[in-house]
Amino acid sequence: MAVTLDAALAAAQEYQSRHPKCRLLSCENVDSIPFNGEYLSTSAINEQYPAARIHANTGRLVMAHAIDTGYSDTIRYGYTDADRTFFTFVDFVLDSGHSLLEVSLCDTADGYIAIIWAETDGTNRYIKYRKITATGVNVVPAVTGTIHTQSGGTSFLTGPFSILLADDSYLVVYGHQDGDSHYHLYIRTSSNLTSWSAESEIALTGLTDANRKANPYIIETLAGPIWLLFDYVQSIGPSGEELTNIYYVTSTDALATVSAPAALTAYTDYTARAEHPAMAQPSANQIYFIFNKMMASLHMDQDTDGWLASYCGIGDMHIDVATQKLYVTSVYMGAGSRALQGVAQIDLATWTIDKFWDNETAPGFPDYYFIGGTMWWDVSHNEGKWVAVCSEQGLFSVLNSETDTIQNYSFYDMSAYGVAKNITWEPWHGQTYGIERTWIDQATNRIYILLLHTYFWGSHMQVGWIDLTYGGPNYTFNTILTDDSIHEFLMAGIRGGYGGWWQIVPEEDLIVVSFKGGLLNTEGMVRLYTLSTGGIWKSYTTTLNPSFPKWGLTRGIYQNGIIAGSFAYTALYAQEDFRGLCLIDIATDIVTYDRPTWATVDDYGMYNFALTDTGEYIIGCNTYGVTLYDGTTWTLYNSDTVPGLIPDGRTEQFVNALSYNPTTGMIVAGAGTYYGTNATGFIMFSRYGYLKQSNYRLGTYTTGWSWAAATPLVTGYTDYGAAPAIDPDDGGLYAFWTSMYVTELSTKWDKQQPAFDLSSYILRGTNVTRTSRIDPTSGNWDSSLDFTASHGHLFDPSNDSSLLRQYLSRGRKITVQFGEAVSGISYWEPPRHFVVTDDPVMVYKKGDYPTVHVSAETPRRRWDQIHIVSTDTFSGVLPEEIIRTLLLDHAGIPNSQVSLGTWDNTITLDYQGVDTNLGEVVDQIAFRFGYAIRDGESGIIEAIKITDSAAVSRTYTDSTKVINGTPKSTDADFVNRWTVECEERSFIEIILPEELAAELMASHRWNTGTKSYVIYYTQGSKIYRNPRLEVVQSVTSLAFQLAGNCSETLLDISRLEGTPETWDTYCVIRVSSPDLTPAFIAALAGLVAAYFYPDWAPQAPSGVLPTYRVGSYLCAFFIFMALNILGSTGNFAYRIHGQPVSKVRRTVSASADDAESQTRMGQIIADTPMNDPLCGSAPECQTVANFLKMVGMAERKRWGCEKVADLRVEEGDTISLPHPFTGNALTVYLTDMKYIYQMPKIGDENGQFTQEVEGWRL
Amino acid sequence: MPVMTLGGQSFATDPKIQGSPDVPVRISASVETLTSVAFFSWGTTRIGKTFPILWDFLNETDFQKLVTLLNADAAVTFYTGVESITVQMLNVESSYIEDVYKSVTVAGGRKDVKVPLLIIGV
Repeated sequence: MAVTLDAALAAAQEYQSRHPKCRLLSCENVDSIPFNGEYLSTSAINEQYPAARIHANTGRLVMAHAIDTGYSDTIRYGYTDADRTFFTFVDFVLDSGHSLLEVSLCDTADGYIAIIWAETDGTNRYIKYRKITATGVNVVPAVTGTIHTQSGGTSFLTGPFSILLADDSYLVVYGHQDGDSHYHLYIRTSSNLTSWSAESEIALTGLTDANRKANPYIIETLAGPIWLLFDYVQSIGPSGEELTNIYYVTSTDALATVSAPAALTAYTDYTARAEHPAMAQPSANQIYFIFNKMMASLHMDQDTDGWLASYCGIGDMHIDVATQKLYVTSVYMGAGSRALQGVAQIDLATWTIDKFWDNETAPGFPDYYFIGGTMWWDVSHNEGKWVAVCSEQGLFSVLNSETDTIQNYSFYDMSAYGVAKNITWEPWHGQTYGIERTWIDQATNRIYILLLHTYFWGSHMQVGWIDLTYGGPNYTFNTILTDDSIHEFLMAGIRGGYGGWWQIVPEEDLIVVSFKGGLLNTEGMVRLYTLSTGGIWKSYTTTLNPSFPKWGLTRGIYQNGIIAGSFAYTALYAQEDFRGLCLIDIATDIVTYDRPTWATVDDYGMYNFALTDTGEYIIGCNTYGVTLYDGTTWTLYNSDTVPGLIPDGRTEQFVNALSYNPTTGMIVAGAGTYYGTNATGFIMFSRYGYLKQSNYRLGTYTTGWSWAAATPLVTGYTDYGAAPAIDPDDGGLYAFWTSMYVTELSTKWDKQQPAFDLSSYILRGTNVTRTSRIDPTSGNWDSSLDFTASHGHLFDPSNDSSLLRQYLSRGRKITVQFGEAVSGISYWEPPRHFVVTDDPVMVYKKGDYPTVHVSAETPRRRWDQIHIVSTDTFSGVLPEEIIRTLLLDHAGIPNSQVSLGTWDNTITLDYQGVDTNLGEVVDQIAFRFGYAIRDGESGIIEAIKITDSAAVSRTYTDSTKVINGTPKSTDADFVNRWTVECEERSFIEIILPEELAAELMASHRWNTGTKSYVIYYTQGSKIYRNPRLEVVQSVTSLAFQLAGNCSETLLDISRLEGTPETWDTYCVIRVSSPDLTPAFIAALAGLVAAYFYPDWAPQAPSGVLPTYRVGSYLCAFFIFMALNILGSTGNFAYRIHGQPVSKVRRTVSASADDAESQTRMGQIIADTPMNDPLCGSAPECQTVANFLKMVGMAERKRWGCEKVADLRVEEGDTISLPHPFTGNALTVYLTDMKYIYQMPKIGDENGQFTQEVEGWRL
Repeated sequence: MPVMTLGGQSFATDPKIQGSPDVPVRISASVETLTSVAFFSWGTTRIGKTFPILWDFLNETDFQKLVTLLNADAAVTFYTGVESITVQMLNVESSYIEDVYKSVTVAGGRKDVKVPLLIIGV
């Protein structure tokens, strides 16, 4: 498809005299707001209170902030050159012992800069000024002095903020308390900066005098009125918590009179509030209103975007400090099955869910966790990129978040759930074990597993490890220790869901296992093992050490020789004084107890533990909140101490699965411990108090100002106090703000920069080269950009002082446009997008001007680096739609950026890519249909048809534009037969020789009678036809033989009663044996009757006659009969044989011949058959073979030429131009394009705007 | 009466200006094609053009002014003072001073002093 250009630009392509242009823009890949920011300095400490503005006279960007250099604070003033390319800093040190409070900058009427600041010497507070040049030099004679003084080194003083008014006078605003401890804002004015008026209170009607007003900020809007913004304490809660919002007033007389205050933020409770306003106006109808959003905590639960489960109980949680990602494992904690909900990855800087893994994602966890396995919480300790989840039934999985892969490990065969046994191990007692705990050690990439045989009368424990980096397919469980010396009731104290805890301490060669006691009055125990040998080192119980808690430690943590743990309080066993935190010194075995100072109770509800990077304990305490203990001081965090800490309306406590982020000082806590359906979600809060983040609302003026919703201006929740300035050239927003890293404060800065124009930096006499190429033999498309820029020192990414350093850094987006000046007007082709491949190449060398060489690549090249474990399963979907979906799912390219059209010969496909990459998948699908996919103009993803029969889109009738031309066939080969093979889409069945399909052994009792047995062939996983019954042992017994016949019958009825999925997977064996119930009843009746039938003893005169025992015999007969019936049990054994059915796809193929070549070469040169999984029939193979033949033949007839650039053509076009010698029309399908743009140096005529094109001669 | 200033400094005599700093240079190139020629033009500019100013003789004081300007290592303003030149104020950079030899006159000075100036802004 030819490029559509503006008519004037298109016409200019025909001219012999050209006025070429090149525009290079450096852009951000994503919206620049929220700002990530760059440190202004990596050396200064405690930088804060930034102020910034553009110096009107020079256009320099100037800023100032406070730095703490020790005893005396310093104002560090920074300024750029007029083009705002790099910073230079000058320090102004305050008087000895003075501390800086706030800084403000304003222009002076005579073109200088005034620094106006507040400071304290511990006795008084002052507002002072100093006049300097824009480059930070004190004016001579010095102009400096004091505007305001108030007594009290710690008395309240807020501000100052100052501006130069349109009438060249100065206005400064600040606030302090009056004699009634009321808070007011004041102004002072000056006509010359040196003499100031008396302070004048600003009348803020409707606001409560006693409530604080602070952080005043003034802006003279482009429409004229002055706006004064400030934060105001709207209300104070019962615990002293403050609700602050931003208010503003307007004035047309320099704040002498002001409008009624109105709110710019509307926070209504104590969970969030606004402070420290600022404002910047880029245009008459647009304004940035910036403020600190103060939050007690951030919260996530099942309603958060990206959480794919309907429940959000927190099982385990850890922070990968290096990547600042939080990993949360969610387990259902309500009644019923303890099922896994999923694992989430949360970006801590933005508090958003990056990824979520469950059984429906790719990769995903096995279904077993969601439907069959018993999952517990607080069982898996995870570190770094590794996240383990485990089921008590012997299956665990480990997520590698870096590679986005999940490896399943199973101690037992769980094929029914799709996981075969793959752990090689020796069960200690040869019995069944359950996984109770896991512990991942990131340093060694090992996962330690605690297995328990859970039968109470003979419990024992086995601990070992598996190497997480081993590739499998089988994994060795290396047993470390076995222990069966612990009472059965106590061993249960380490079971998941019951209590207890364990810890692996590799650096101290230690395993700590805490068995929680209490079950049937069993004492608790902590036992220490040697990690390397598995030997028992020592144990703690109340019997061994009466100062150890009777019921052991419920939870705990070990560090530096101390076990710290929680325990159940008891007033018995002489332990009534054991309260608070139990601390065991394992060197001395001395057990001590520390009680939190924030309450005096017996049970502090201590539950879960975490450590800070400096070894402080973080403990979740039921009922009370989260406490931090540094060995001396107990600090409690709850809704009373940090109002709003618990999200509004939530009643559960967040004391479970604690994690600490040493980078930001944040604590993350999950909901618990009263498990159930209400215990969901987790919160993040700062150990230092409120979270602070600069937010902004964009104001738009139509008939009045309307304000967009507040959104973050910066990333991070300890980034605040933003000072804005507007770039006068492009309207971009500069911001300088304070960023807190642990307790260190630094100033960061950033700029909103949709595009930075690099065009004026293109080095004359060097090439700007843009190439693009279709590889017709693979369907791949590639493009690159190379250029050299001046001012290399400014683009040097290691030059911290340069404001331009990020514009050519690795990963930066570059757009390039060639164009033409026509009658003095510039016209441009559509932009092409690139990404800088590496940081620019430059060398500092004495005598050489520093230039940078930049190489950039098409964003499409990154597709090859996007690994895909498995794509979605596509069934009956067009290839264009499959590619569109893949680009959206795996590259995040929105639909609006994809325009693939409708392909020739398109058909629906069944497709799923596994263990591949995005580039490979896209090329494979597109090539199957003869297309290549490119990053087209304006970043639109397009499809190019690879063809030798496209219509000519551009005809050149003469050679006035052609510089040279040459025929080529250098990359061609002699192949003249192309074969494509595939498997047919439909299956055919193959019936194999008969084999044993199943066995049945059972028995029939005297009253079983006829019974049918459903026999599944090998658990139903195989299909058999023509089943045959082999009777190994028939059902029979004496009584059965006497009563009648026994029979066995095989019924092959699965196709009659089953669904297609179960056809031929089972048969029915009907076993008939006589039902002897009637005979048994008859025997019983006879027996009863026999009792009434006496023995016959005839009487004779002689008196001696034998007794005929008729009755006894009858009785004995019926007893014999009944017993035989009851003892009639017939065992039987059958084998079912059948013919297994295998479903296979036939392999079919098709070939295409270059008959002319075969004749000319005198031989058939066959290419290696191409196996195309996207074909499903011989005709489809033929289509692809024909395409390969076309490509192979065309590759032998290439043509290349160099010509004057024509922006109308692009690769994939077919052009016609005269042959240089014959003048006959030459039709060329373009596969390769290379633009060369070179603007010559002055006095040098080496310049050009040409293009090298190459393609197939058709 | 000398009228030219360089970096705000005036000299005992005005130098000769070689070339025409007010006349722009056309940045262009041409490429021969099989049957014609392609001409590329990027318009005209004075920025980047180099022209020398020359004194037949410069006294030592004035010469040291030039050295001071050179040591300042910064762009300076060149005021031609020549009314016939349409552009009289130029921002220029200079990399070196070329003088032939030191004079033996009593006052001291330099002969045939040449300072090439690069126009970086107008």
